[in-house]
Amino acid sequence: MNVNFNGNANDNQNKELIIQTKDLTKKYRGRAAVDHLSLEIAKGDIYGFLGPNGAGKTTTIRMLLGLIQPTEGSIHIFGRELHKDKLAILRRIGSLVEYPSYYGHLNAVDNLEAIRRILGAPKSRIDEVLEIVSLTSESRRPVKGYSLGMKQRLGIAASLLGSPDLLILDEPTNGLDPAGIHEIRELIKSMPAQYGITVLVSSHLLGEVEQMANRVGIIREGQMVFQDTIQNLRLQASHNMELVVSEPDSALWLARDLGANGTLQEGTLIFPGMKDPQVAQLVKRLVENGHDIYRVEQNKKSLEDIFMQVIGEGTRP
Amino acid sequence: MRTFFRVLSSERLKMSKSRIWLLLLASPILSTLIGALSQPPEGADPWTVMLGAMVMLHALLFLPIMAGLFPAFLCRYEHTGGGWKQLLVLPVSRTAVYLAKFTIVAGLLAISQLLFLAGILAAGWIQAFTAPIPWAMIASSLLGGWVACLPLVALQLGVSLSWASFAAPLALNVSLTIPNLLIVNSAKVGPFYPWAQPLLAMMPFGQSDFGAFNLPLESLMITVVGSFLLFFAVGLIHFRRKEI
Repeated sequence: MNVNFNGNANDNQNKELIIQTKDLTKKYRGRAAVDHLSLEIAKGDIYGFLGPNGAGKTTTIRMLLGLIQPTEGSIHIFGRELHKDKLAILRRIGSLVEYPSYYGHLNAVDNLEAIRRILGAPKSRIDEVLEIVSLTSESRRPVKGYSLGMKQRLGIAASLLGSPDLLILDEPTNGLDPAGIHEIRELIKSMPAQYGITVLVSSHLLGEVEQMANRVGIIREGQMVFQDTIQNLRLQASHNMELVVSEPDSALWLARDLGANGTLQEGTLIFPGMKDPQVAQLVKRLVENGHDIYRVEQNKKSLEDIFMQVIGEGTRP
Repeated sequence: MRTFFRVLSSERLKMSKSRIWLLLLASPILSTLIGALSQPPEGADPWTVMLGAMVMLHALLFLPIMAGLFPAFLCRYEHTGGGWKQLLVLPVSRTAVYLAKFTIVAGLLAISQLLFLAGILAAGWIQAFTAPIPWAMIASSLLGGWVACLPLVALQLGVSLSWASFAAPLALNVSLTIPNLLIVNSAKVGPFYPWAQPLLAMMPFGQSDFGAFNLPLESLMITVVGSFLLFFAVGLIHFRRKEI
């Protein structure tokens, strides 16, 4: 299967970029953990930042938040250079890095109050964010007694405290049960529409961000291997049209007459990259020529396959 | 500057719900007992003799140990809950965080000195001293002891910030404090050993006439200020560059 992963980013050009990195590089003892990474995240995006564990997602996010210094390259957030306007930029970002942080001996309200005092947000904001993550009823209990899901929700509440314009969430559903994952996902999905927040969410699972992100960036070994809309990824992923017919051999010849180059594998005709009109035409001709058509299906699984292929390519032996 | 006060206020909140203040009571209570049980000889100023007895425990062991315990405690919240990331992605400079934590520890030690003052007065009241209270001497002892702790605070804060372990900074601190028992007796090393300075600064003048005691406060302060500047600068620079 030959797929072009260099999707174009033209649809992003007219939009205001919230995060833009150029050749962002972080080296540890000569080895690049992040290698000339160019991220582009536009206003209102939910950007899924994908890659296997150890690909450099967290390192990138730590650089975006000023926790570590890049070895090379530049970071612009809200159109300003990060290292020049760090505090002003950080004031407009809410974030959750890796696992939730909390002060176990304090209850949820005091945990948020400790952060609110630094942000200078209004006091009423604490109740608001607790409401958003539905922790209001548990807010007076010490946080050390919370479940992982509740701590994660508290972390998200903390990230929303300063009414940010940009939310950076690193593996926000790590360690959550399916119900918790669903809840967090719905919460993240509502951010751009309800609060006008741009979201960067990282994950090592495509399936997790697939349902909320409109754009994805996939990194492997510190390098960006795909950056485009989720539709374009899906388009590449759903390329294979599979047909099962009564006489596959002659059907294959018929298809070749129509200009569709397919292959025959175990009685199934496979047509990569077949567009809807072509499918309609092929089916019509097959029926006209007396073929029985048992199945016409798109290979749905291959989005995950594409992802696996993208992140698996060039894996060191 | 505004962010400093904001961080300070946030740190105060984190401290307020912990029981660390119980520790502040330990030394004054024990020292009061020592003071109340001391027997000043006839003829000498009873306050000076009593204070000399009381500072032995307080300034030789408790002050240096508290100067290491409080920074470790204050950084523990961030180390255990992954709080460094949460704190440092907020719009705060690392310098402000460092200064706020330093200020909290210095404040706690100041409270400890005030409680110790209450202990002095209580012990004197129990002993029913008739001699007037030597305010000037007591004040310079308390203030000198507090200032002499600040280099230790700076060092321990630097260590506690960089080591995620709670026990390691404490172990370092205790192992540097215990030699005090010997070092204060040495006229050569005592004046230059930072951990000995709280006792040397707090011991009333003329009370002990051996070892490193009875050096003028000014000469002790050279060690104190010098070690403070060194520890403070190294700790701050290291913290500012640290990768979180």
